[in-house]
Amino acid sequence: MKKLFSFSNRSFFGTVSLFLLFLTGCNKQASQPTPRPPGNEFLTTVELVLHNTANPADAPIAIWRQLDPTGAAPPDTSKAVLNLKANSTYAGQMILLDETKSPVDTVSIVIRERQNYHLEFFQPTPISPSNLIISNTSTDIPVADGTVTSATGPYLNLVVTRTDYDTNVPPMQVGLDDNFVTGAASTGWLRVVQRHQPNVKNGTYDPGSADFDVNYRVNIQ
Amino acid sequence: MKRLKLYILSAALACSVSVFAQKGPSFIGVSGGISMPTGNWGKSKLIISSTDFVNDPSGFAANGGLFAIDGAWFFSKHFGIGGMFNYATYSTKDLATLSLGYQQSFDVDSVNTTAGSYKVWNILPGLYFNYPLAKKLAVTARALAGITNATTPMVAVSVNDGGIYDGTFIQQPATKTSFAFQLGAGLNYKIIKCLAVDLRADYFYSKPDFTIQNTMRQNKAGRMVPEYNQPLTAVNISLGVSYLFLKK
Repeated sequence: MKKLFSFSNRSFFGTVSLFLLFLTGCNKQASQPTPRPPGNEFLTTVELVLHNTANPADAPIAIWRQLDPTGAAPPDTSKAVLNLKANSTYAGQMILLDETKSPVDTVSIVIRERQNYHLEFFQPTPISPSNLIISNTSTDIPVADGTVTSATGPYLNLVVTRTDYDTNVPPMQVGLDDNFVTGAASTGWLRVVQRHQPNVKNGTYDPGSADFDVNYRVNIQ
Repeated sequence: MKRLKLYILSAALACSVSVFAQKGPSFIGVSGGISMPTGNWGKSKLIISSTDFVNDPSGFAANGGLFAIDGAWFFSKHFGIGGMFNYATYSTKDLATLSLGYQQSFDVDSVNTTAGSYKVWNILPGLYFNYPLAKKLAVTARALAGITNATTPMVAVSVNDGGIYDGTFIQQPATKTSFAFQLGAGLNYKIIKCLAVDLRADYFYSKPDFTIQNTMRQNKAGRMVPEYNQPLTAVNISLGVSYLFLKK
């Protein structure tokens, strides 16, 4: 009887020991990366579609196009020109297309859906250092990200402001809809960059990466 | 008066020993097994949303390990009162589904999701039942109710796109204590005079209302769970060993 009791005690307390080991031993973390997708969304064409708010007949369109998915061939910039009237206000829209598809895919519809983590930037150049405004509502691009300022000019007299907002809390600007306000006659360039900022959009340029980075010739007459 | 109290106490002790000696098989035991989450808690779902947050009721709880200590004192031939302490962990399952949802919601090259485990412990007193079917075999049942303390896992999601690391957002763990109950039945087989093995199946229910902190969620897109108010239900299958208090 004594032996029997001893055996059952050993079995019982052995099981208790295993239980305590379980309590202290199970604290693992699992990890799961996603596989890289076969290819990023392809985009061939960036159109700026403007209309003069005081003159509906004045509706310039500028088109930047790159149909070579490898990027080896130079882009077609023959229509990447904005001819604007001096001292005018234009309401503008950015239209993004994938012209390799049939029918043509309007990518800007998808960007509108994904507006909570996309942000458009418009940088007129030449620009004076004092007019370069870096903030979470400005369309200007920091010097560290490629903007070259000029102390002497002549400057391109163009200011672009975004007019649409996303559904973040608080709402942030997007830039698919914009106002282009011109000053005195001048010429220069307009650099347009779309930033893809997944969960890091805060209104500034730096977070995320660029979906495209294109330039238009601008003539203000 | 003091003498009278001592007499009554002695009589009561004598009675209880007598009752203890005559009644059902009081025991203390340990057990372990598998706990299988049911309902939304055990589900996983691909959530893709580029326009807003989605509060997903799916709990992504995988089958977990369960260990318990319990015991009961039988005040009659078939019925006893007792209690159980048990502890279970449930890892987070289908992380690939979570990652894919975030990857497509944010339209990025890759996402890496890391997750911990649900941790649940319970203290459940209640009623025990034992009915002998043969000399060594009995059918058992228990109905327990008490408290549960449950902790949700931490889920960390790191985002990479265009060769850029876009940060890590985190669903922080949350802990809540709430009411719980457990109903079960099983078989008890006496292998030697004072030791028995138990095979049991139990149904566990609780419904803690977790408030969950999510950090670094700047933009409204993808799955985000600020509150988890779904039943935590599970079917537990356990095998245990019990020490039986010998009858005089």
